[in-house]
Amino acid sequence: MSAHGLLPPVSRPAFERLAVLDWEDDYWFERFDTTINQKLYSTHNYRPQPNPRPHTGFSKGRFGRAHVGTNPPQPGPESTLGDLGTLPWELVYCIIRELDLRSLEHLRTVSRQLNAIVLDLPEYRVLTRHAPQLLRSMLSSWAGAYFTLADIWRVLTTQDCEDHPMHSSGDGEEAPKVYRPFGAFVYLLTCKRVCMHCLKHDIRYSPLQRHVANDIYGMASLEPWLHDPQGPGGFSFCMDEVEVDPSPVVTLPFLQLFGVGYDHVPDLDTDFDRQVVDRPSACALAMELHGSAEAMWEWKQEAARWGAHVDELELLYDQKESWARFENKEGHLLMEPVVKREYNRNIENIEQGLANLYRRREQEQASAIVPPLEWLPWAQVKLPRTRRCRRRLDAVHTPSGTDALYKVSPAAAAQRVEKIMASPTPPAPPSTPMGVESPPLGAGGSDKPPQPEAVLLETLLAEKYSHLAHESGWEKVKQLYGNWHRRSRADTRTQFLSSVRVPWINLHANPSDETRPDREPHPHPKAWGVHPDYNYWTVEALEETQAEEEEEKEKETARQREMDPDLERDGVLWEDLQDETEGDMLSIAAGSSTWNQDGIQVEYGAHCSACGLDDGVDMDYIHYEDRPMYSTATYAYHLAEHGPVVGGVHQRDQSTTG
Amino acid sequence: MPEEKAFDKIPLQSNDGSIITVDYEVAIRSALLSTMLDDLKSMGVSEIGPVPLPNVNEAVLRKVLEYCEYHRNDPLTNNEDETENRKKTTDISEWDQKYMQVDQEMLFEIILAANYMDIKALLDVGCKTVANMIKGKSPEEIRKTFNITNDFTPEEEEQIRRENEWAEDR
Repeated sequence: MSAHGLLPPVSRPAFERLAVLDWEDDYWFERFDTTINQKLYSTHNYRPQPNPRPHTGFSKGRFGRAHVGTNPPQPGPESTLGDLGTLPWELVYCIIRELDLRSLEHLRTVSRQLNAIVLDLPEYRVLTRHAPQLLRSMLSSWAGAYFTLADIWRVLTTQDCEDHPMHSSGDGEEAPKVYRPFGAFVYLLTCKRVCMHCLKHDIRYSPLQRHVANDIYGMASLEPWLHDPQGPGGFSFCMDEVEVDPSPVVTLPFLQLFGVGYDHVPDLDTDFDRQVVDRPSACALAMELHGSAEAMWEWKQEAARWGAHVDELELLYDQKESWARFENKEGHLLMEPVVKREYNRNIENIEQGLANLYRRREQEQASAIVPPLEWLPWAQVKLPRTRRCRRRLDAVHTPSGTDALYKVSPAAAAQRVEKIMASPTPPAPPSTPMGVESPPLGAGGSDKPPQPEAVLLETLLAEKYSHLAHESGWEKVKQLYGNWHRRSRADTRTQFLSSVRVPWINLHANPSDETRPDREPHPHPKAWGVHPDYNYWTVEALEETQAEEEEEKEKETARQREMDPDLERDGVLWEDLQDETEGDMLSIAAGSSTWNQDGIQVEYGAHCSACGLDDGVDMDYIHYEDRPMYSTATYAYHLAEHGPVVGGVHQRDQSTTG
Repeated sequence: MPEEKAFDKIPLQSNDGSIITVDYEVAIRSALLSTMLDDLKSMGVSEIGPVPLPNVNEAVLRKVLEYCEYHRNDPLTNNEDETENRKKTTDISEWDQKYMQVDQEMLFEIILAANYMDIKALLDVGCKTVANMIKGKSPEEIRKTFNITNDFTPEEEEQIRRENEWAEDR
């Protein structure tokens, strides 16, 4: 017996691939019998229940311990299975294994004993442990109502793209399978593994909105089709809730799309636009309704005469069961949300699934087969401590706030810092797109090398975005990444603080991986999670931390004032000096400040009339509304070089001149 | 090669004493009877008296035999094929649906009898029928259907509700 309870003792590699358990094997039922009572009664605090059905040895049935008749089983006093208690355990398990995921979840809430039975299903335990994101995706998009645990188990214990076109030998006959690529995605409408190539190019994975399916296949034009939701193939589970669409397409499995907008409240009654159906299923249903492919073709001709848009039908008619023809078909508008939702309202973070990847690949025009977990190392910004920053964060709804989200991870940044620092000469900052060489900072400063920090930051940014920048320019990058957080001004702050990436359905996950975020709690009581590479903070945790820091700082200041009377006498503490200095700068520049891509406060719209700073260190890619932005380090350098500016002239220059 | 018939008619005796005689092809739908008849045949028994089925009463036995009679010509599957078929067939045929339109007590009796007599196809149909009774129902409806009492403490209920909220979040 393995550490996972009922899993058989299989070899480690096989276990890691979640080898298919043979459910029909007696092995399982033997172990059920011996372990289930222990599990149920010890783990879930149930009292032992004596089996009222003595083993007569009479049955040679499939489930050796089921008995009927002379000693009719009665539910024990503690049994909360109701009428189901008249059935032996094995049969209850048989029934439960026929249930879909959604029904299982409902069953869990019926009674303690049923809850325990469901929790004790080996498949359920393994899936909830190792693929919780997939289960959640299915449940929240209604796909969970169509597939049993066995279906999900099957798709997770295989690895190949299921519908990738076979290699053909060229003589018209299908060649033996050469290879199928790794299916890195799960297509929720059919619960199939697919690869990125199929998702992008195979029309089967381009789902249709219900009304579109009605239109292009002419189902709405047919006589009302009295469907039997309880019948074979009928999907009765949702009928009571969505039985407002009278068209036959309602009988198809559908997926409810959510997460299109952050503030969107899903409503099954009104969100028909967001209900999509599987394209091949819709086509097959339409053919059945029309009677034949030829009849559907006739209808199409008729509809075309009326100007209907039925190109899709033409394609489908021509292909005649062979989908390979639709390779390279474009126009999968609905692919992204079906594959993965983007925003999880509950834990308030963005699950940047395929959508983001897809867009990025579009930008890069790269090859199609991409592992889904090829994430850029997004990380939460480490917030500066000053109160000013926090105020700005509250007040400013800014794309640079968005920029600040997309940082390199601390670990990666540290590595790059080491690398750059180790190099004998610091790399030059990226040249501006206009090709203007960076002039020296300030008059006569040409002999001074740029500040290492500024160089470092710019290098990091250049590395981070270079693969996109040379393709489409920084404006495009900003637009791409900025859209995520421009939805609502009111929610900006919350989203900003809580939006970090979580892995997509982690098909690569090693089941024995103990480093998953949910394994160890964050030391801070109010933080909701931690990852070795990323810090997740809640707003409360942040505020509390900052309050503590401020308190400490005040104590420190008071202590310094006590110990250093000179400081008190001068009346200017370092912090005050800093504030004052920056105030000068701001007043001169008549600009405001925000955050740059490093999460560092920067000034934009600033212009030093004394030395024409904006011509020199202009970083084009963070232009915002035609105003250049400067990093703090740059300003610090400027300040050190020229001193504060009064009346449009540097103080140092004034003194020199004077 | 088609197997030679051991017997023509098989009398079956229910636990309340009534005897129902069925054809051999009908009887061997039950793996229990099939094995027993094979054994008898190998022992050289030529005539057979009523086969006692002490766990099945007459009404249920008649109902089960009705199913066997209808499916008498279906191919008998061995264990390996049966496993595969069960996985692929997810729906219930029309006749089977009508057959299963009985009250719940009878339904469970049929399932138990199918299990006892080892009629795999009937057992599968029965389990699927019960599963269909659960599908799409709210927890309260499930309780009502199967007379299940809710024994969750409020805390447990709240915990499960929260778990489901996480799972079904949109």
